[in-house]
Amino acid sequence: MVITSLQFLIFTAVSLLIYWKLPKRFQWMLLLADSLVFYFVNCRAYTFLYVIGAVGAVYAATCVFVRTRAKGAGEEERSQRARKVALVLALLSNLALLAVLKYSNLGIHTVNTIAQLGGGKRPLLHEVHFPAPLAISFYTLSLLSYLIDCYWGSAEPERNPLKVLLFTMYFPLMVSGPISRYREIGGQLFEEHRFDYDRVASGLRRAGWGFAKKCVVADRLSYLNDQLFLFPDIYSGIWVLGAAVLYSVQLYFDFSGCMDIVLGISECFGIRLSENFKAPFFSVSIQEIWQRWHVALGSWLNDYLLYPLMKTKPMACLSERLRKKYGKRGRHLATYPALLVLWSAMGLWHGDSWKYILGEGWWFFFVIVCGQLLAPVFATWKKKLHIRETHPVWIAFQRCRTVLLFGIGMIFFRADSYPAALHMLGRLFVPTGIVSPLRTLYYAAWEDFGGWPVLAAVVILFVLQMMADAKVYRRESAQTKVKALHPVLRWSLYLALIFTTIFLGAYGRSSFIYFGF
Amino acid sequence: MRKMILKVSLLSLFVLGVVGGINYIADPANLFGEALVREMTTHLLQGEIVQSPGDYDEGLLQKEMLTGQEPPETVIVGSSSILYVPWEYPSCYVAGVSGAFLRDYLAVIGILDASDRLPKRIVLGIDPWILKRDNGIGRHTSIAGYADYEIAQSEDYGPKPERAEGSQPHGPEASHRKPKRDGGRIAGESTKSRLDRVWELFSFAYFQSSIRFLQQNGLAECLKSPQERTRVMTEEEARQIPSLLPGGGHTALPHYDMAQNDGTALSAIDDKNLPGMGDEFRKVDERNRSLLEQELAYLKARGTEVEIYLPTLYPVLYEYVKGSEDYAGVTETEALLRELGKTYEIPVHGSFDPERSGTQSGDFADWLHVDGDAAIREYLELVE
Repeated sequence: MVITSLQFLIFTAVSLLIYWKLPKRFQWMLLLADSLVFYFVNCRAYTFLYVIGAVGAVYAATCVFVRTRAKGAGEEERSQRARKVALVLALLSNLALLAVLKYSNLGIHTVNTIAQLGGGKRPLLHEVHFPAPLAISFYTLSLLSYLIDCYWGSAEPERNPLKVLLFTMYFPLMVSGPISRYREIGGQLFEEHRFDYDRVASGLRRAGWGFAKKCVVADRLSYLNDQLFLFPDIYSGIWVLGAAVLYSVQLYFDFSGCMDIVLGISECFGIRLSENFKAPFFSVSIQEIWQRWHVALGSWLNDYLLYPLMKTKPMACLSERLRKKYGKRGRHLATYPALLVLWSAMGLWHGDSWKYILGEGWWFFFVIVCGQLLAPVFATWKKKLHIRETHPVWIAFQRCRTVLLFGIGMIFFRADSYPAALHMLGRLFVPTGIVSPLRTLYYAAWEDFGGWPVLAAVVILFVLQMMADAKVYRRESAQTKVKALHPVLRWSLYLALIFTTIFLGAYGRSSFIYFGF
Repeated sequence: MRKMILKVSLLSLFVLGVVGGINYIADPANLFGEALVREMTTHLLQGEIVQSPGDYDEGLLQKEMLTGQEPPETVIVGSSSILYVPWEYPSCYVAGVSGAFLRDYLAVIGILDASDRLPKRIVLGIDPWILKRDNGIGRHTSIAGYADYEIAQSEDYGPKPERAEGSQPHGPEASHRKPKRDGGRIAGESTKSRLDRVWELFSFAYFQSSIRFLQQNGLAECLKSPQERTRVMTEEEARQIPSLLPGGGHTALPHYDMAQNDGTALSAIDDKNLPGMGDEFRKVDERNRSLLEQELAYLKARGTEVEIYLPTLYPVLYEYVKGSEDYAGVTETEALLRELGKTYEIPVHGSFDPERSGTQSGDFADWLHVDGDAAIREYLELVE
């Protein structure tokens, strides 16, 4: 049941009707029932056992946290040890499950590659195929954040295991996240909600917009990108940069379209999820774009990986040693190993292939080398060239540069493998002109793409999204102007959007790209 | 809240009304055009050749044809790979449905069985992928109930079907119920297909096809009656224009040159999207294997002669699959079918392997179909 399908729309509509008619204290139970239905329709039934196992391990650990809380002074040490053991066991069991179900083949490929480098002709190990639960990468991180927050005392452990199950499996999140924190949505999931016309209308508008972004822009662009990435020998030189940017746009509209649908539907249920995108294409540096793109993942890794890692004894010692040697700069240098771990984890999260890690490595290079090590050099140049940081041309240049560099990293994500990505990047320096590849692209993909009407719709939707993002960048609401329109004009726009999506959207093309993670 | 429900309902009704209305009127795949299929059947049963309307309910056509005539001596069951072959059996009907899964094969046999029309001989044209794990529902949903019927009929024969790991039960649980039979018609046979048709009626993808169909053919064409839309062909015309023969076969298989076929096959390999197999077919699905075996055992027990035909895979494709672990199921399927052939004394004709069957790229009309003459030669010359 894809969330852009008619079946899902009917499922959601019926759920909403029942939700708002139910006695308020049963609303969370309906959400849980909906989530279970959604899960079993989209995934093999027996994989639910993995979810139960994960939730069970975390629930058991939080029970230990509760039991060891109010202890006397004498039992402090034992309690602390028990809490640590419970935390570690729950962490390890969830991470082990994720590692086995999702990353076994990465290990196998790595071993086979090493064996082949050592002269072996046949692969040592064979690939395995474990059907994984739906959204395992997303819910595992959500569950672990709940576990760690309970350990730290920043969240109150939930006594009802069904509520923990709902937090883990809340159905809009089971598509492509966002990775949620218990302290942000836990209360909302279980509290009683009253019907609010404006909020539901806003949610429906947002979901409809997301639908259009996914079906009209992302899925149509995929026809072009399929060609550009499948035949890098034809589309070389500047076409590689074009592919990089075009895929970034496709991915943005795909993922943010999904987020709009998810957040919109949640809003209809009275649950406000956190934003996952904050106008990323308006960023002026790689560092900034990763603070605006897939925000939930970045902040999760910061809070639960980077900062705890920085506080460990070895890192603290390293920081002290480097500070003594290099002064203030030394402190910055000490963060690099931890940042390397963070960026590697980010790559690993995306999939069981070295290409994701290499892609993240590309961005890591720019964050560290250009963003920090060479920052004084760039500052000197800017001064000599009298470049004003706030000049619109300079800002526009930075934004274009950032999108290009971001897109080049995305080549690793889109290519079939890292050798394919490297080959494609190598073709960047082999110009093939513009006209001949354009003609080839036209014959290969123009009809599937949908021709001029689709191109016009893609451009219009892109411009509208950038206008909305400009507002988001300034921390304003993107829906204010729409709400302020005359009802006739507003409803005309709704109908135009709906029929544009129906006439020009691509259906049956693909699931959401991040669904695969 | 009432205001919200009213607005959303009105908007949904309007949108779905437009979509459903256009889908119903244009109906490019003739999903709602049972009358058209019945009109075609009337002409075919009179021995006339009829122009193929392109998309139509093939399952329904087979049901009407098989129940509308005296049972022939031989019925050929399979996918489009058997439709263009000039079979040489004296009394023969070709009951092929394109893109068939295993349950479509069982459905066609079920139609014959449920109407007491099991022929003397059944030839099964088995594609390399039909033993891949599938979704447990045949592609031709209007006759899906007959597959359930046939599975229930054959449950006591051969090995008991084992459920593959993690799969849902397919069709009625054999130990619990058999579909009710009423004069050859299976109760509930069209319920599933009715639901599928409702989804298609409001499908946005189908809406886009409908709009294209309307643009190409005009509204007048869409509003024609089934009688006006059914065109009887002469033999001469049928050689040039895709048509349906009274004996069940099809004509005018489009031919493409070898370079184009090679290119299409290589493109499918690059995309890792092989026909019927998708991105992988690593091993034979145990449940499908059991279903096929029990059906073979059942037919033999009923005294029906069975022959198996293995249509050759396009050489470029076969070269790829035989060396690929991801598609090991293809060679496993052939080995299994030959083993079943020995166990149940069933002749096995042809081979998926073009080298073994002596078929070359030039013998193919397109990258999926062997030319009819080459296919019949392969069928007659290579038999174990």
